[in-house]
Amino acid sequence: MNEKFILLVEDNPDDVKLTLYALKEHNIANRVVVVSDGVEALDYLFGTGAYTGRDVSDRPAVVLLDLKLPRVDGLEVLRRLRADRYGRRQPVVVLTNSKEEQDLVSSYDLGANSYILKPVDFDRFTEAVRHLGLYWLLLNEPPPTGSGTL
Amino acid sequence: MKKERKPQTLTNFYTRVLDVFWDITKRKKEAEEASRMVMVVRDSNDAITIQDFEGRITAWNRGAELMFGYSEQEALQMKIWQLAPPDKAAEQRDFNRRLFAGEKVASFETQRLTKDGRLLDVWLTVTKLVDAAGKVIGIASTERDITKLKQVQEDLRKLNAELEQRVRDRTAELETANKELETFSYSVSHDLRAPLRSIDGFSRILLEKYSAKLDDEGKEHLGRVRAAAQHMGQLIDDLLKLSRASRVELRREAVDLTALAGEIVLELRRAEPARPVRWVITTGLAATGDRQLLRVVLDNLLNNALKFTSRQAEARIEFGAINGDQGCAFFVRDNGAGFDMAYAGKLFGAFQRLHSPADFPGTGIGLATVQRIIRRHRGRVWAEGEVNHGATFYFTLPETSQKP
Repeated sequence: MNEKFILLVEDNPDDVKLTLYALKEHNIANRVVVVSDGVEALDYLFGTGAYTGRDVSDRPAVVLLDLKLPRVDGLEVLRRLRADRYGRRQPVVVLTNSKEEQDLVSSYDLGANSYILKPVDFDRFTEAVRHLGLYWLLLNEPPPTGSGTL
Repeated sequence: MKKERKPQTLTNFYTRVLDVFWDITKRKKEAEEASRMVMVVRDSNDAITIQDFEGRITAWNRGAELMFGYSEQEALQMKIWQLAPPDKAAEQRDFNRRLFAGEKVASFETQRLTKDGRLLDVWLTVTKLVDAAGKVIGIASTERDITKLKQVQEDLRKLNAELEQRVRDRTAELETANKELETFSYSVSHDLRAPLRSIDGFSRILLEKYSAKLDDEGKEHLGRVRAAAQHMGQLIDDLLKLSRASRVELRREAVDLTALAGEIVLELRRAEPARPVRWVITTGLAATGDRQLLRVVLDNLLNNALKFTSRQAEARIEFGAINGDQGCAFFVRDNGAGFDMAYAGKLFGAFQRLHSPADFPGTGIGLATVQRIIRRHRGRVWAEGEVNHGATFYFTLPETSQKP
């Protein structure tokens, strides 16, 4: 069985750096795959575009998904993922700066597993990342690895 | 009777009208009674005419003369449809034919053409005149000039349409402004928070990983950078709450204010378990309003009370209600730092603060939010206080506030 890993969908390089720092700080050494927009995220998950040929049965334990992304936004990524037979099982945590009620409602309507507001305070941010890592990489039982494509 | 003073032509007319009434009623009338009828016809501003079976005008009062511009002599040579504009002549002929055929008489709106070619809007009332045997022998018409009335009506209609258009335009403008505000809040929440996290995050990494390379002053500076970033994050959050308090649709429901205050107090005690505070909450306080927004109100007021009693050895915070001139007012009272009543007017303005951040931290947006929410509930909010002797914040929720 492959090692559990995180797919981080984040366009802000500072946030990527801070997230990786926070994980390292809390000794969460799992692999983190970083993609910087919605198109890349979908290509990665479906094995298309730049990721043609990737073994898509090797699924991330969790997708940390920002909402405001270049090209295809987070909600659209979620929509396309949930429309797929395997993608609908993929654990997705929305990790965003948006507190707007509409974003919350849409995310849950589209089947987000969780919705986390990124704290401005870095101490609270690292705490949130630590919780996320522990929960999704250790506690949570992922969906069984099915054969076939995602 | 002083009929002899009237012009000869009119006398003829009155006589005819009298004759007609005679025939219609078959009753003998007293001369006095008849003369009253004559006066009515004579002084009427409405045009009163009689026509025969052929449409020939056989009687013409002064009202008709003034309205249409034809003298009696001229009129008596005319047929009634000559008074109708070309497009209405056929209608008039048809109407006459139906009347003589025995159809019901009616009132209706039509048009008339004056001698000098002006088009008049008139309200026409017709009465069949029958002889002793019940045979229709003529038609009496009363025409009222409603041109001015129609003009006023039309002006009103135009004004109304214009007004409606203006309301539509304004509404569209407001909707656009609202949309822009929403987009703005979205950007504020999303785009301004990210750089702040970078400032705070990388400052902390510097403090942690590079502390050996920084002297104490350098560390203090970085500490200030972090504090400022966090304060700005709080400002953004509070501003969003303020904007939300104005934007969300107001729901009206029964709200148990006592229970709401209880929930908030529980959270506050959890946050600072070590602080001894005496909370006094009146039971059974209820109101009608938006539960979420009223929670924001109580949250702000109780948080403030807690903040401003932080230097009190024995802090006491009370939530209750009093009955005053304006009905029931709820209040949150504390025995904390208080404020100078001279500045009471500034309390509820956004970004207005009466204490230095070193003494009591805050963004100055909380009370502005409270005021906006209470005003949206058509209530009032005010405060009383004295420096070092505590403060009381009152608010009313007029709809159905209750005191037990």
